[in-house]
Amino acid sequence: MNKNEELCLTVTTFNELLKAKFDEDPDLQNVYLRGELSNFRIYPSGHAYFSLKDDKSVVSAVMWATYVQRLSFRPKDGDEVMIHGSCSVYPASGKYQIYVNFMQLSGQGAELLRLKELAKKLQAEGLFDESRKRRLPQFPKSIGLITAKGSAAIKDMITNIQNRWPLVDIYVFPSLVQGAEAPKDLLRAFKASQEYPLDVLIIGRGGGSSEDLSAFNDENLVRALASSKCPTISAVGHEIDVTLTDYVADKRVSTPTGAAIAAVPDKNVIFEQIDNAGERLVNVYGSKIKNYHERLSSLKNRPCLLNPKSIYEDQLKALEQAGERLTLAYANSLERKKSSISSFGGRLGALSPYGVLNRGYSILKDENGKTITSINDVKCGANIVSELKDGIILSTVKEMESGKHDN
Amino acid sequence: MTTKKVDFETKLNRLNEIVAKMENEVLPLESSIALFEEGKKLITDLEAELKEAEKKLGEYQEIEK
Repeated sequence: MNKNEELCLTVTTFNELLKAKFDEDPDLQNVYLRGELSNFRIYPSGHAYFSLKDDKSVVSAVMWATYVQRLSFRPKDGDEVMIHGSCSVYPASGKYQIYVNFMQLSGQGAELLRLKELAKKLQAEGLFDESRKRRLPQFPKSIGLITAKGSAAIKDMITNIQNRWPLVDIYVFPSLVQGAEAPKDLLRAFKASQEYPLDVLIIGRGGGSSEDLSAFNDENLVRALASSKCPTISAVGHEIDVTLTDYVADKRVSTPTGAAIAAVPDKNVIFEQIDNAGERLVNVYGSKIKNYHERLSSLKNRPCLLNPKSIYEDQLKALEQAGERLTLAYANSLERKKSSISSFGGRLGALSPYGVLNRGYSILKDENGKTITSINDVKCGANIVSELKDGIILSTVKEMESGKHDN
Repeated sequence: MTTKKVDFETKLNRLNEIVAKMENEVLPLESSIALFEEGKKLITDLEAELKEAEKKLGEYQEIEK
């Protein structure tokens, strides 16, 4: 018995020995199990303790808080789950248990199938048609955000929207975005948003630990989004995981920043456009005015307007010419008269008494130059003047005798 | 001003028409004078309007700075 006693191990040693055996077995370090959850309980420490069973057996399991946080669903007793973890011994109780690091509903394959069916159905209804997609307004005045309260995503979106386009009001409709309540809560937030005069509605998901997008595959939510009064942007999925809200929204983006870019224009780009337009306007307007100036001044400088005399110049010339002709005609007629007068002169000369002198006659005049034509014109002793053709003779009257000439 | 109602282009075209008419047609003196006066009036108006338009350009460029 003594010898046997020497062989005895302590309980602790035994359990630790077993633990070491478990821990060095690669198969036990990489265990996949399927079973039904029972006694699932999360302790205040955040760790979860539960059992996994089938119709005949049961095994204990623990899930540390770090892994619990990554759960994509809220496990409850009766859930058929698939887990991955390692198997080890807890020395203090001598119980072996599964240390779970991943758990998903084992129906998740079926869930995926259901999602595909739903997508097909909605697509057949035309909810995802390109023709249904509305254009986002270029300059929205108000934007609604449905996303998780206080998330990094919400800050990112708000900051980016305000930086790019400050002329926009942002309405935030906080909602749960993951967990069992999320679909209902998202729908509530969406309905609330429809009460506001929004130009664009963004439905987004905060980036974070959870990979659970299932809330954004909810049929009611997808149908609701399709009925949105304003264009919608879905900022839910990643590049790889696309959700049904991504399909139904008018615009799909993969990041909160992308949502801001899609929703509002960049003020700097718009400023530049305005500057350009202004410059072109000034140029076009300026050259139009210049063109008008040229046209006007070329018309203005035409002789008919620049030199109004040209209007009546011709008439003036004609008038002058007429005047000249008039003067000439008058002069001519004068000349003619003059010459006819001189011919009369000649003829008159022939009739002049002086012409008679040439033929040997003389004219008698008294001292006063008065022509003596009768003896009664003079008295005896009077001095008289005889005008001959080449001079005069002074004589004194001796006597007078009346009577006719011989001839 | 009644001429305000007529736009610039129309007036400029009318001026053009007047000049062409005066240059190319033999007109009675009375019509020539009437056309000349109309043309002068148009020039005054057009110049005033252009000046006004130019002022606007100046204003805009000043604002831009």
